[in-house]
Amino acid sequence: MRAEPLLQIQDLRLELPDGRRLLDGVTLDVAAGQSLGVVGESGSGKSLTAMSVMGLLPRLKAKGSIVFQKHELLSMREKERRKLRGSQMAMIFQDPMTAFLPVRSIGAQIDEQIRLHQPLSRHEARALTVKLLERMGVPDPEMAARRYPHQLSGGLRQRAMIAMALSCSPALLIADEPTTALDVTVQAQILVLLRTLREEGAGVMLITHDMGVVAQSCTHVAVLYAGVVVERGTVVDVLQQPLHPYTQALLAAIPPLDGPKPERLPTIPGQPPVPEARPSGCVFSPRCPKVRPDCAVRPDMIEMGEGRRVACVLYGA
Amino acid sequence: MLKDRSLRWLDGLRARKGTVAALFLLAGIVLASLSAPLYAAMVGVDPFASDLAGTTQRGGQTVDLMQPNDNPLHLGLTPLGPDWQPGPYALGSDSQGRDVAARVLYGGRNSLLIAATASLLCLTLAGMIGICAGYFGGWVDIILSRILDIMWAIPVYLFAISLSVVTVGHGLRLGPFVIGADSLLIPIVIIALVYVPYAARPLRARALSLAQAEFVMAARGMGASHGRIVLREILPNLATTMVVLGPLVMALCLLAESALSFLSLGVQAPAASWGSIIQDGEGLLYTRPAVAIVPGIAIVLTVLALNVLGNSLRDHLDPKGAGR
Amino acid sequence: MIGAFLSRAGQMLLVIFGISVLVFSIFFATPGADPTARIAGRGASPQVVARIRAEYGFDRALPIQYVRMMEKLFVTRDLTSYVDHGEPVVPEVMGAAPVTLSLVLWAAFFWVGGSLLIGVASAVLRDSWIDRILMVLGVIGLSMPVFWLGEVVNLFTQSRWHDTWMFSWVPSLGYVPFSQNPWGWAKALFLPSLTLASSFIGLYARVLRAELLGAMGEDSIRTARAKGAGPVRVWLWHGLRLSWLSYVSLFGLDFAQLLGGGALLTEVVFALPGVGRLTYQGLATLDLPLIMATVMYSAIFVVVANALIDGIYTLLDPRIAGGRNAR
Repeated sequence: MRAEPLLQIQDLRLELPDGRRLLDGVTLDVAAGQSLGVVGESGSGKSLTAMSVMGLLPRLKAKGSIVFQKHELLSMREKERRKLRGSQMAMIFQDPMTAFLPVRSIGAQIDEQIRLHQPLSRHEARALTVKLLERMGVPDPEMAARRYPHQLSGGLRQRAMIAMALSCSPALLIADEPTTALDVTVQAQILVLLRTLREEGAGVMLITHDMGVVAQSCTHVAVLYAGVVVERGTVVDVLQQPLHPYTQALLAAIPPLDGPKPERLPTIPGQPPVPEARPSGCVFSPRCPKVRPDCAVRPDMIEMGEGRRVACVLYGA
Repeated sequence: MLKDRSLRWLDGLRARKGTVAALFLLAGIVLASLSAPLYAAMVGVDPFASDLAGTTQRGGQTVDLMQPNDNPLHLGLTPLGPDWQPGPYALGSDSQGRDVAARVLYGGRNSLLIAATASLLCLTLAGMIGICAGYFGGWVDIILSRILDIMWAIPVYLFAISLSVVTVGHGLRLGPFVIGADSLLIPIVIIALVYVPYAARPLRARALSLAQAEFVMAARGMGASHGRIVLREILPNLATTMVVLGPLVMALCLLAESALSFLSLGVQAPAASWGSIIQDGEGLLYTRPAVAIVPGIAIVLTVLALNVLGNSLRDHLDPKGAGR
Repeated sequence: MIGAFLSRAGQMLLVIFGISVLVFSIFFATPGADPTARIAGRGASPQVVARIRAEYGFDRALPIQYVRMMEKLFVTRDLTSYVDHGEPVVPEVMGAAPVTLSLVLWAAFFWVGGSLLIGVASAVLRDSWIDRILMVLGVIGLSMPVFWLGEVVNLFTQSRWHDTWMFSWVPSLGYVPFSQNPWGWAKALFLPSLTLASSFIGLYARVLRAELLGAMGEDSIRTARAKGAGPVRVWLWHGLRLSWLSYVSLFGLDFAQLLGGGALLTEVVFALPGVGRLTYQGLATLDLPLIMATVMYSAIFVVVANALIDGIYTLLDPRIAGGRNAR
């Protein structure tokens, strides 16, 4: 049984003013209570996808469709979108040090978001802020609210960031590499926190380059390569039985947790294409070990089962 | 590195109409000022001699340089006004019966000469201080920075005025060096001195970061002497910052020179500079405004061209911005 | 905290001492510039020169002269003018201070207001023709000698267009004390302060524009937009908050320099009897003690203002509250 999708992205394309295409057909969806891991190398367009959903790229022209809670976002007026931002959808950024305004206290910045969307007094907003920080496991939340970003540790800052994102109970939470800038022990705590949120019913979109993070905290995964989604499915399916050659190569490059350590990890030869040199056929074909003549035509997404899709000619009819 | 970047700046010029216009404007002003003696000889005036009883030709008639005043009592005399026609006294006469147009051209020579040499001297001094403080660091840096702090605390114009009031008209005796009482060297040295802190700060910061740059470390690692590092590594790179500061410092120097001359503390009569002509024209402001207005326009245009040039250089050579 | 404060105060005193030595040496120890000859005037007989030298103590060693001068300036405050016999210098400077303060306050009001407006407008409309025009106007303002601009203003408002509806309200040159007539005070200072502010507006707008555009690229601004903040809030609340640090430090320095006599040229052109004009009058009569007193007071002003800016800085930017030395 499939849940009603909360967010549905169809064939999203993003172009620079000079015509270079940064995203070239991103299709994915997130349902309430699901956690979608969006995986790809740097430059594959993961963050751009997230920013497009949030509407934080005013200078780039987006084509395709982004439907959120049955509303088409791309044709929505900026004023309407702004009301959604921060209240219905919220974002957690990679580096909580630079993402907070350095010159105002953490609490003041969380209060601001609350009061932007809810008619609360300064005092009530602060009470809510303290409660949120406490829920995120910040020790002495009242004191922490009065501190400036540089006075908190990286883990606490990221907890505060999550508290801020959750302050208006958003239906969709987008986390852009939320653990990359953190220590390994703190990483695990943050991931547990995200999992709890998902279990409470929010939809989560987790942007990462780390398959390990996906395995730990996601229910679904979408693999992005050079601005194109090449494979989607549940985490169990994709990790145990990767279909797309790129996903296979990606998983092969992770050292096994148990068993004998291999002498060398396999690598993918070559470099991902830059936007101006993206192949017109399958985007992975120049590096693909199983390349065939019919790869010269961009393959469609093929449904391989319940929610499982792959864009590769190997699985064609 | 510098050469490469300057070439790029020249390439970019085609796209920057403002910068090209500023360059042409500046060249025009410099040429006009240089041709001052030519102009004076051509129209046949002596811009330095007082000539209260003189006459000149206007529309075929002989007119007095000093006209009866047009106030009801006809008390005193008013200099001849401008007729804006080519020829002698095109901009009228000043209160001494001298040709204003010729004086503005001669004044431009002095103003530009003082501003240019003062800014060169200022940058040279600031560069030396910057290298000593920034490259050698330690107590040299502490002492030099404190001295700059002290100089910076005195408002620039007050500093210049203080130095001028004790030297202008009296000259300066430093051991064997004697500077004459009305030598242009006095305003040049004074103006250069007061802007040293302004130019030295960014240069010191640049030298400091250069001293810690990897290529300097590498040179030191190869056993290069301090002198060699300063000459071969630091100076060529510091030159970029100095080139960027050049037009901006010259603009400041020109404004300072005009202010000092306006206060009678710069160029001394009968020589002229744009500032001193404005001072001459102050008393005639309501009757013969051209005397004060025209040299002011010359200052504005020159400083404007220098500022545009400086900003353009800064945008291209030093995007992070030296000195504000 | 107290230690930092004390070391700051110690540095300040050191700089003030350095300034006093520098200013004293300019006036009384410049080689070849004998103050005795200044006071005696040209062609004075050797007897007169000798008497003056003894009377003013110029025959003593320089350090003793220095100490006596500083004592008269700061301790007994009875330094008298060499020119107007018996006129004490310090009260004269203090009496002129309110005029300068009024002028500079008005000018600061115009230049902060103007540059905020222009800076934000041209940053928001960057690379549009409005931005370009505003920036060109700013550079023109920066390029005008203030005394010349003042004369142009006087020419039109006092003489050429004085009888038109535009400038018939302009009072004749001079100052009206606030206590006497507040409205007259404001009218008398309006044009002089606007003239004084004109060069600063362009510079400050330019600095603010660059800083704002730099700040708008920061991650924290993206966060603000992700929170759902509107453009006005993002620019004015978040953007300005990040970018006015260098603006504030620039402002403090210029404000102090103007208060300390940097507004001399404006005061001279508009006949405002402030500290600057007092210095100017001292120039005409070569009244060295008077000039020295004003220069010294202004320098101390600048040093104190600098310390204040550092304090404000720590309030504005909590990151440097920990330790921030000298600059």
